[in-house]
Amino acid sequence: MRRFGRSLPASRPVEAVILFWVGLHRLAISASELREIRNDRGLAPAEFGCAAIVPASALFGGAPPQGGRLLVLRHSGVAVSVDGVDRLIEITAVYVLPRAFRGAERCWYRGLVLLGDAVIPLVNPEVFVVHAELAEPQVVPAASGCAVQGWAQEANPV
Amino acid sequence: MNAASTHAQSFVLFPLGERRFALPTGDVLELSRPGRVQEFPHTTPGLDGVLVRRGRILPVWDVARTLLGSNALVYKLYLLAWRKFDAARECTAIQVSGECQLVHGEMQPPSDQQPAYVRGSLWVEAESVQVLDLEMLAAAQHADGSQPRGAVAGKEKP
Repeated sequence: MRRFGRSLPASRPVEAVILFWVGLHRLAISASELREIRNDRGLAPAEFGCAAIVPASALFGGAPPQGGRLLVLRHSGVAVSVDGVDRLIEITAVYVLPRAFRGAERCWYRGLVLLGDAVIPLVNPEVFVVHAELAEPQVVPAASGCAVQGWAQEANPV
Repeated sequence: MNAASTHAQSFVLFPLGERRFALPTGDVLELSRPGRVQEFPHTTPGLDGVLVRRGRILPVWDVARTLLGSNALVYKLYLLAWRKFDAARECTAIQVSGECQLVHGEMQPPSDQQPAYVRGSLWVEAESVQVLDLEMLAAAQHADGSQPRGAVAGKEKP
C-alpha cells in the first residue's frame, strides 16, 4: 500500500562531463574517463606519467593547439591536447546519434548532449587511444572494438 | 506500367533554387520553420549538422549538393521527411528554398537516363518534376565522396 497519493519520480542517473574546445567545436567527455586536466607546458608525456599525447585536432580537424590544455585519460596512458576546457556540467541524458550519420563519427561519439539549445557530441575516449596506438604501437596498449573499426572506416570511406 | 504510375497519388513539391522536386506525402512529416543548424565534426557527406525541434535532435540534410551540384542556395525552411534505416525510420530535416505545395497526380516511371534516386516524374504546371527516392539519393551522395573529416565549421566560438 502506498503511503502517498503519487509516486515520486524516479531519480535519473547523473553523469558529469567536461566540455572542451577543439577549434570552433565544443565537445564533451565523461569526467570519469579523465585522470586529470593540466596545462600543456610542452612537457614530454613521460614527464607526467603518460605514454603519448594525441592532439584532438588530428581527429576532429583544425590546427594543432598551441599551449592549450591536456586531458589525461584514466587507465590508458594517453593525454589529449585540446584548445581549452570550458567547464564541468552534469547531464541526465545522452541522445543517440541520428542514424543518418553513418561515418566514423558513429565511433567517435557515444551520443549527443543537449545543453539548453546547444547540441554537443559526447566523445568516446577510446578513439584517442586508437589514434595513439596507431602512431606509437609500442608504447600504448591496443584499443579494440568500435574505435578501431571507426578508424579503419575513416581511413577507407565507404 | 506499374501500379504507381496508374493511380493518382499525393506529393509534396518543394523548391530548391530555381527547380522543384517532389516526395510522396507518406515520406513527409511537416514543413518546419527555420532554425539554427548546429555543426560538429563528422564524415557523412551531405549532412550539415543537426537541428533541435521539440526536444528532438534531427539531422540536417543538404540535398542540393547532389541534385543541383551546388550548396550555395539560400534556405528558408525545413521539410521534415522520414528516412528508413533497416526496420527503423528516422526524421530528417531537408533544407528547402521556400514554401511547399501539395499536389495530386500520376507519377510516370523514370526514364533509363535518369539517376537511380528518381522514382518517377510528375507533370505540374507545364513542368516535369522529379519524384525522389531519399534512400537512393543518400546512397548517391555517399558515392559522390566523403567530405574531409572535421571539414564542417562550427558555429560556436571559444
